Amino acid sequence: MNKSYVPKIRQDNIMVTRVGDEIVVYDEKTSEASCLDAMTTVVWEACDGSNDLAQILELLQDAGFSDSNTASIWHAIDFLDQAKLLEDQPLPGEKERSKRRELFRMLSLGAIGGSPLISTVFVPPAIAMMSCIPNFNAPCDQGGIPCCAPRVCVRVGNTFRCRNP
Amino acid sequence: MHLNTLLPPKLRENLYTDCMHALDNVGWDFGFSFASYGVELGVRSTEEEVLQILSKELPYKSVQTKAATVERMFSVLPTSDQSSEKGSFHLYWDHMLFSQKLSLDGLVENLRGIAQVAIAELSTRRLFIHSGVVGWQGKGILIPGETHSGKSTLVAELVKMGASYYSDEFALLDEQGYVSPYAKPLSLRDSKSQQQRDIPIESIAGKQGVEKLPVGLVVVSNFQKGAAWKPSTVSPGVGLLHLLESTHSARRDPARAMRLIKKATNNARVIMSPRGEAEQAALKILNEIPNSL
Repeated sequence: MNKSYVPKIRQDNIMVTRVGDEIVVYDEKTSEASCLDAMTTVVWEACDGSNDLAQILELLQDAGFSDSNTASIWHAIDFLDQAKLLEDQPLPGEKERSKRRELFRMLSLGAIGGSPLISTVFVPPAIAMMSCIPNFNAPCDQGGIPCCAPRVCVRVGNTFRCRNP
Repeated sequence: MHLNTLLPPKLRENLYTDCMHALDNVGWDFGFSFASYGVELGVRSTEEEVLQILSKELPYKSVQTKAATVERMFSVLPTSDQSSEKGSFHLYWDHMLFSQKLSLDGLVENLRGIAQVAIAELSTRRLFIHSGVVGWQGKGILIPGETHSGKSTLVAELVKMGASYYSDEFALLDEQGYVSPYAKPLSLRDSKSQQQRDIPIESIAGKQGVEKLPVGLVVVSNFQKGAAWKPSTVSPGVGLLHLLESTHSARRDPARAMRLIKKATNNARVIMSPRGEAEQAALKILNEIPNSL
């Protein structure tokens, strides 16, 4: 276990609310919201910059996740890192991480170790929730406000327009 | 509505951009302000006649006000397009050109649509969630979803089965986490023409919900042709995520959005399932409520 690595969660532009034994994290930089399951929540709370992996594992086991292991911690940390929820600091090399992922996969298949469950959604801007653009030939944006059925947003020259399919 | 078009309102100074200052130079002679759920909005034009029409087509629960400054400004610029008898219009949302060469009908629809979005995003009186809502056995059932996810159709079926109608567009949460009615007419699409039309709730023998309700059930479901109803209960955190992604002000004030959703769903069950025909799903959804009490 790499004792020199002490993960720390980002504090800036992050909103957190606890819901039961889970937490929901909203990242204002990416407009993404994630729900961390109970195990990942413990890892999140332990990643305060004062705990190395051995201490995080101990905290997990104290919290009742007796079947957790190093690989499951790394899985959670990898997620937090990919979601850019950790402070910028070098993580151990990719080769080593790949080995850990493989280890995690094997452990999971053998039902050893907890498997973190994390859901993420993208929170769209308010305008994207507008019902639809009603007009034929109105300017539109693919992936933006939809055209009212049966029209669809199609490219016309250099622009996109609501047209019949 | 008596329309005061003598003094067009101004966008609040702190919201101005260089482009907005430039747009002011068009010379807007006429305008009016209106408010809905505590949000002040303005409309202005170089022609008075079009404002008379627009003032009668405002979003649900809007009232004309005398506000001199507003939080959003919609500018309507008639164009010289001769192809339409009723004229054609450019519509600006603050400084942004939102739609070009709109017919009068298109202008009405576009303005109502973007004004509704602005109200939903800016209101601090209620949290607006893009969701269908019905009342059943003293509880609110929320059906969040994107446009075209079948919310209105499902809401209509639930109402036909005896649920009270709250909205096919917005769930309005207050500070206590209760859901209030936003009882605009149902917007249903004709199955053949696909044209959207507004239907009074009475025309399907439905009853209007009046009292604010605690939320009992959140249904995360999209229409999938032929799909069987197989609900799974998801965690409150995942439920919060799905409501957050449908909340208009989530980006503007995520802390408030999460706080109110959490409060509203504190005692609610959240279920998730694809659904086929609305009629079949509706009955099963109503049967879920006793389980969630």
